[in-house]
Order: sequence, then C-alpha cells, then structure tokens
Amino acid sequence: MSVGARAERSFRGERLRLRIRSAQTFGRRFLGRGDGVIGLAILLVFAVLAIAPELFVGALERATTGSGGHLRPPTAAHIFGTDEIGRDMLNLTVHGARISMTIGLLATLITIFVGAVVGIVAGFVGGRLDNVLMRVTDFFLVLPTFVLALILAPVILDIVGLEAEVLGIRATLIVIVIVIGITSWATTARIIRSQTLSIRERMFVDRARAIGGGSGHIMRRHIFPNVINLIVAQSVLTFATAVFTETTLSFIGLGDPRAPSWGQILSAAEGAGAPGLKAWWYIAPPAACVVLVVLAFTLVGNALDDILNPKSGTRR
Amino acid sequence: MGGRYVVRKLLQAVLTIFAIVILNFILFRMMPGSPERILLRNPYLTAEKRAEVRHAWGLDLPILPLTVSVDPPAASINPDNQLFHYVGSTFSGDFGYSLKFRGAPVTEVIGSRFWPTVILIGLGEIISILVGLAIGSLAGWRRGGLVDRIGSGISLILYSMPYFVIGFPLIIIFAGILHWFPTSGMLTTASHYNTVLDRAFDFGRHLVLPLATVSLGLIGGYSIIMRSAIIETRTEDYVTTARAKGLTDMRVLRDHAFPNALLPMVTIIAINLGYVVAGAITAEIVFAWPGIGTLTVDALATRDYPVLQGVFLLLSTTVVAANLVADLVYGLLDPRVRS
Amino acid sequence: MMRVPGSDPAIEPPAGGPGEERIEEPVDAATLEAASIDPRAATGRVLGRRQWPLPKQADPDAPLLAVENLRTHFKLQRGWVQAVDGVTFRLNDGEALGLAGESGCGKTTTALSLVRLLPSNARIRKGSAIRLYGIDLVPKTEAQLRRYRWREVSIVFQGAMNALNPVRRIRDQIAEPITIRLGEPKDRALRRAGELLELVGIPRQRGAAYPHELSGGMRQRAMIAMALACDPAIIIGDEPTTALDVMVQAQILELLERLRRELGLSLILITHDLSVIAETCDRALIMYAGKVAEEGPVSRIFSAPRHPYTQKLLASFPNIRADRRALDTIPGSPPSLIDPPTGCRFHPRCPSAMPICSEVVPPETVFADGVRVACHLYPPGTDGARLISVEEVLARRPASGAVPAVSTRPIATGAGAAGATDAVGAAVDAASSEGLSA
Repeated sequence: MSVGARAERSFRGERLRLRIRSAQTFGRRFLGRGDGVIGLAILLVFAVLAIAPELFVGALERATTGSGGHLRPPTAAHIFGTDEIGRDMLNLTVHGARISMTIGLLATLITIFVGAVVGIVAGFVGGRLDNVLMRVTDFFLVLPTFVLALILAPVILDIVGLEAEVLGIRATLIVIVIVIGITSWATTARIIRSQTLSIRERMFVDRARAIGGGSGHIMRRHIFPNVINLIVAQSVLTFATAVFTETTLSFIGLGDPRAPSWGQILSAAEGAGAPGLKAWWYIAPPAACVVLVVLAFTLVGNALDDILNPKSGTRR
Repeated sequence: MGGRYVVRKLLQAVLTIFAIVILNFILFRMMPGSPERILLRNPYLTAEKRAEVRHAWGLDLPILPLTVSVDPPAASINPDNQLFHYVGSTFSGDFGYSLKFRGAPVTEVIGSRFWPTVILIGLGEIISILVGLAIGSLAGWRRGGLVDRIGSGISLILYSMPYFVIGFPLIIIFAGILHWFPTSGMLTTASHYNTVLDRAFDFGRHLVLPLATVSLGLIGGYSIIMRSAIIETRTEDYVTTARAKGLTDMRVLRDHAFPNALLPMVTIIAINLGYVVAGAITAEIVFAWPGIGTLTVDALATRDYPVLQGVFLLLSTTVVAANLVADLVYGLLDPRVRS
Repeated sequence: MMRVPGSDPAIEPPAGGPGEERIEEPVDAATLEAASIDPRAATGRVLGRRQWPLPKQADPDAPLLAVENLRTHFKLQRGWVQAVDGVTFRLNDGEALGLAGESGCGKTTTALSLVRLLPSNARIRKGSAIRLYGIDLVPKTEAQLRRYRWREVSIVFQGAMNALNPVRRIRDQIAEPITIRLGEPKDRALRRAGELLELVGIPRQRGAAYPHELSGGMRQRAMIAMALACDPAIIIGDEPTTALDVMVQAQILELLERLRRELGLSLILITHDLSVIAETCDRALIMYAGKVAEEGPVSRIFSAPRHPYTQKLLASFPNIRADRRALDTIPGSPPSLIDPPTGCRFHPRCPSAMPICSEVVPPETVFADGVRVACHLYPPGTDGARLISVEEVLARRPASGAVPAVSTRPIATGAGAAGATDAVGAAVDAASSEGLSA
C-alpha cells in the first residue's frame, strides 16, 4: 500500500470519526429541545399512518362503500362518527394522512430543489446572473403566490384534463404540488443564497479554486455540504407550509373529491353544512390532524434551524 | 428620505405591476382554445360572423409584438398586437367582462365585493398587529417566562391553524350553541332597518365572528416573528447601553428594543399581506361573507376566468402597493435608510 | 502624567462647598430618597467634581470605590466559568485606573460587575463586595441598583456604532439618562445634551444626527458625552479606542485626558493596549485568568514589571520608544476558566515556573513602592516584600507624593451658579479654544 493511499485512508477514517462525533452532538442538542422531540414524535405517528393506512382502518371508504348512517355523531362502531354519505370519519381521516403528507412531501421536494439550485447558483456565480435571478425571486416574493395558485391551478387543470394521471398520481394532486412548488421556492432561494455568499467568502473555496476545481465541482463539493444543514431545516419548515397550503387549496375547491386529503374532507364538511348543523365530529378529526402536523413540522423545523443554522446560533 | 430611494422603490413597484399584467395575459393565453372557445361556442355561427367577432375582439391580431418562426426562418415585428391591446386596456381600467354575471364588467363585479373584504382584512390587521406585537414583545423580552410559555404556545398553535379551521369552532360555539352571533352573511336577509344605527348594529353582529377568525389567524404569526425580532435585539450593544443607563426593563424594551425590532416587522407585515388575503378568502367562505373571497371561489367553480384574472390583478397590485408603502414607511422609521 | 488627585485631607474644599450648593431642584421622589444628603457628606470628603448629593448611606470616610474579593462566575452547561475570581482593588476619587490583560482575562466582567450589567447566567458569589462610598452594591436588588447606574457609574463602550441606538437621535440618547436618572424636564435635558456635545468637541447642532451619520471618532465622542450626562462618580471606558484608527484613537485619548484634567473624572480604563494605560492612567491593574497578577503606579509597573506575566505582556507590545524588532509573544493561550490550572493560573505558560507554582496559589505581596504582586517569585521578605491582606489593599491610600495640585478641578465656580451646566460651560470654552470641531 502506498503512503498516499494510506494517508487517504486515515484521512477518510478521520473524516468519518468527525462526522460521527458531529452527528452525536447534533443528536444530543436535538434531544435537549423538548419541543422538537414532541414534534418529531407526532410526525412519526402520522408517517406510520400515511405509509400504511389500510393496516389500521381498512380500505378507503367511498360513497358506495360507506359503512355507517348519514352524519351520525361518534358511536362505539364509528368512534369519530360518519359523514353525510355514511363514510367512517376515522377511515377518512387516516387515509387523509397519506394524501396530505404525500402532496406535502412532493411539494417540499420541488420547492427545495428549485430554491436550493437558484440560491446556490445565484450566490456562487454572482454578477449579472445573480442580479437576474434575484429580481425574479423578488418578484415571486412580492407576488401574492396563493392568489396566483388560485388561477394557475384551474388553468393547468384545464390543460391536462381532470382525469389525467401522472406516474399513477391523479393530475389534480400533481397540479396542487406544482402550484405550491412554483409559488414558494423564492424564500428558500433567498436564504440559501445568503448562506452561499458567506461560504464563498471563506478561505477554503479560494483554495479549492486555486487547486483548479471547476465551478460545478466547487458548488457540489464545497458549497453544497455547507448549506445542507440549512436545506434540511428549511425543508422541514417548507413541509409545514406545503401541508397548510394544500389544505387551504383543497378547502376552496381545488382538491380531488376522490382523493380526500384533510383539506378536501373539510371542504366536504363545509359543503354539507356541518358547522351550521353542529356536526363537530365531521370537522374536528381532519382539522386536528392538519394543526398537529403543521405544528409538529414547525416545532421540528425551528429546533433544527436553531441547531443547524449558523445565523440563529448566536442567540442566547 | 432621499429622493433617489423613493424613485427607485416606485420604479420597482411599477415594473412589478407591469410584469404581473403580462403574466396575467400569458396565463390567459395558455388556456386551451380560449378565449375563442368561450366566445364562439355557437355552432351555427357563419364563417363571416365568426371573423367579424374575432375582429371585434381583436383576436385576429398577432399575439405578441414579435413573431418568430423557425421554418421558414423569419421574424416579424407587429406593432398592433393582442399583448399591447391587453396591457393598454388593463391600464385604462378595462378588465373585461364576467362570464358568469351575464357579461357585467369585471370592475363592477369586483367593486361590489371590494369593501366587505377591505373592512374584514383592515380591521383584522389592526387588531392582530396590536395584539401580536404586544404578545411577541413581552414573550421575547422575558424569554422562557410565563408570558413566553403561554403566549408563544398559543401563538404557535394559532399559527398552525388555517383560518377556516379557526372559524369552524367559532361558528359551532358562538353561533350554533350560544346563538350570540349569526352564522353567515353580512346583513340579515330581507330585514328592514329603521335607522342607520340598526343597520350598523346588524352589520357589527355579522362581522364579529369573521373578524375574530381573521384576527386570531394573524396574531400567531405576528407574535412569533415579533418575538424573534425582540430576542435578536436583546443581545445588541445598545440594549446593554440602555440597561447601563439605569432604565427599567420595560423602558429598555419600549424605547430601545421595540423600535428596532419594529423595523423588520413593517416589511414582514407587507409581505404577509398576500397570505392574509389567502386566509381571508377561506374565512369568507366559512362565514359566507360577501367579499372578494367568496367571489373568487364562485369564479373558480364556474371557471369565470376574467373575474379570476381581475381578482389576481387587484390583489397583486394591492400587495405590491403595500410593499411599496412598507418600503417608504421603513425609510421613515429607519434613519439609516432615510439619508 | 502622574496625577492622583483625590482624598488628601489637605485639599478638601471647605464645608458647605460646591458639593452641596450645586444641588438644585432635584429630582423625582425615588432619586431623592436614594440621594438625600448625609450631613457628614457636607464636610466634603468625596467632593471632587461631584454635582449631586451623595446617597444617604454613603460613608464619608470610605474610598470612592472598594472592590473586595470579587468573584463573578458564569453558568454554562459544562460548568461554572470562573471569569473573575477574587479580585480586590480600590479606586480613589479623581484617579484613573487601567485594567489590562489578554482578552478573556476578566477585565470587562470585573468592570461590568460594578453595576451588575451581566448576562443572566452570571452570578456574583458570596463574599464579594463592591463598595461605592462604602455602600455595598452586591446585595442590592435590581431596582435599587438602577439608581446607581449611569448616575454613579457610567460606561463608554467599545464600538459606539453598536452601543448607540441606531434609530434615535444622538441628543435624545444623551438626554435620556438626564430625564430619567435626574428627573430634569425634557427641554433642560436637551440643552445639557447640547452642552455636553460641545464639551466633547461636537457642535451642538450635530445632536440632531443619528449615529450612522457621524464618523467613528465622532460617535465615540458622543458616547463620552453620554457617559458624562449625569456627572457620574466613575466612568468606565471599555476599550474605548479599540475600534478606531490610530489618528482618531489619539484624539479620543486626548479628549479623555483633557476631560479628566478639567472635570477630575474618576476613570476605570479597560484595554489590552498597554500604551493607552501608560498615557492615561495613574495606576495599572494587570489581570490574568480572572485574578490580579500585579497592581501599582503606572510608572513602576511599566519601568519595573515584577510578575512574569506583566513582563511578557509589556514585551509583547510595540512601544513607540522601544525597538520594534524585539517584539515578544506569550506562548500558549489563556486557560479555560471552567477548570483553571491549580496553583498559580499562569504557571503552564510561565517561563519562570517552579514546582510550587502548580500547587499553591501565590499570596499577594506588596513592595515599598506600592506595587502589589501575586507571584511565588516574590515571597515575603524578598526586596522588602510583605504579605498584604484584602483589608490592607482597600485601606491603602495613594502615596502622598503623587497627589497633584487640586486646582485642575473645575468645581469652584462660585455659589448660585446654574448647577451642573457650569462646569461644562467652563470646559466648553476650553474645548472650543482647542479648536476641536466637526
């Protein structure tokens, strides 16, 4: 074995040790945040529900397969009551977890991907490109994105058609995902850019450039690992927003009645006049789930942000 | 405030609104077959009549000022085109005609729904800014104290609730069970008022629950942001100076930390306006408040695109204007920007 | 350079002197209560340039400031940081004391402990005493202590850009403590703010400016004017010139020097720049790792440093009069104060360390020239050194030979004059004659 290879190996070993140690510190600091841990616990529960709803409540009930009476309050057979067409609310709510969380996840992926790429490129390349990208970002920041989503969604739906499916997911849901993605990447881009700028100023990038790495190489090997913390924290916070936005969009009628997300259920409840009929059981389960999930993501996101974001670390 | 600062901000706002108008046009053109599909549904229309209508609506003009074709390679400049017409008519206040309301001008349709929403959002903003900033300041200043733990807890929960989720329990409790307030609408239907006061009272009763919903929905966010802004100021040197001067804790907060923490809030409140509008839309649905929100949802359901576009244009212009105002107010509040 | 004005009985003004006459229409009830005149104060012990009555509990025989066995510790997750651990010193009226040492040695913590401007995780340990005119500030509650802040002890912070509130006018920030601490009406406070600005060489119209509109040197001047606002007993300068460029540094030091001469300020100057202390202070206190290493008259400390740390510190600093090529560095860095070295805290870095140094905390010894050292190189008996107790440190008065003529003080402008503004007015003339301007 050559000396170089051995040095390389020991270097790798050292790096691995460092990684493990920093992971340990991170774990300790996260566990020290009571709110973050509570949030994480809530998220785990919902993740399990979202992955295998059938395991807990059987197949999703449809209008034709409703198992109970119409708009009945909770009973032993239907502990969350039933909706106006006889579907079990527990069944609907648990299945809603899968739909809401899937949309949230996909929307987050798009948002973070676009935001991170724009942020890193703008921050690293700088100059005129940075200027152009930031003008576009500012435009999207000022734009009332939700209202834009309102007109984007039906337009896209009319183009692709209501019944279309993309990768087995119904087009209506994809539209919501895309709309959330298009309209919420700007904040992420801003945050990542400012972090990239400060990293670029640091010595080791100059050194990497001096050694002769290309821009792409530097961005991937030097900038990205340093903004990944920020990206993680930002993703979690974006997830909260995405679930929130999905719920709102579905509520005002842009959802898919055949894929009842929590917002869709609440929209149906509103349509059936549940609040006026004091049918609280129709509203409370999906509403509580939305609030719990958004709250949990926010708690975890804030905890991560405090631990991982160098700019919030200075707070006493 | 420097004149150049004002001019720059004004220019940015105008450019943004211009971009929004163009975006609006592009979205409109993206729709399949539209607008001809809607205009020319009548199958018995003769070709001449069709051409006449197309001409009357300007649909025979090229869409963009610059037409480029690849095969054969050619480019032509069209001074008379649909984009210019659209931009021109939009800026002259012509937003087109509603498809649903029997061809009523969009401006009229929106105008009739404008004030209810302005009242709802305006009052909601005022209430929630006052309450939110107060809670946030106290919570951040006494971080970990009683106000912080209770206030921030409630704020976080409110922050996680879509407006309509806040509205539902309010309806069930205060309208359904207690019968204190009506469930929906802005005025009791088919009622006769003896005096203006009676009318105002009825309006007020209808306003309470939607207003409470909007306010509660906003308080959480404002108090959380204010809290972290105050926490940032706590470690600033000028706060130490103020403490060294022997100011009471509350006075340091009021005279030194708060004015500085307020600066970022001005911008955030303006940027937030877009989300407020979104939230207000859902709150209006829950309470059947006859504002822009319910109009939007109706338009969505019937695919009344001219109205949707009008709403988008109105709301985005409002938000841009609010941001402009915020920038100018920021300039007034922060001497560093002012000079 | 070596003036130690102060407490020599021979220079006291007569009874009923300006210290009492200048009291005019004080002040809100709370301040009055704290400040009602002690009859003994009228004998004028701590008069100096003081415009305001002494607090009620003041002891006329006590030194201006006596810090006794101060221990300020910070609680961290890993344990307690012993940032200041058993510091004892005395500040006489009209004296300038320089606090020096590497960063992290506890100088700033020592100074900020005086009026307890400490972060929330800091504790001043039992057994510490901070006596201002004999009044112990350590047991005071936060509300009680507030009366002493700025009124008795004000601070010129490092980096006035951050220490001044960016969104408030300079004159309002100067007037603020005058209205709050002294209960003056707003217009009079603003007028006095204008006078103070001129005193430090800023035209009073510039008071309408915001901090960012002033240059760095001007901001620091404004900060000094603010520190003078309530005519405090002690002014702490926390690295007041560090953030400035050399030219401005010199101007600010000159200003401090002039104000000290004209107003007879009692000054605690914190700096790592020993040349600043050499030029401005009467006595120097060298700290290392939260403890006093050496303390004494500036002339002695700089000409004959005894503690190895002082020697190293002096050697590591460029001196205009010395050969710059021979700059020395101190190997290693200050120790962790969570788990400080046993014995003498300097021993791991000390060139003259002996076996005893790592085992026994060196006692403080005093020499005939008034220098106090904590080092095993100087056991009692060497060079006439003898052990010195805390009580004795606090009882020592400056050598009488060091006391300058008292005429440098601006107090005596006659009875019936317009209060606090008089001394300022007199000094303004001096300021303008020096040609300082924006």
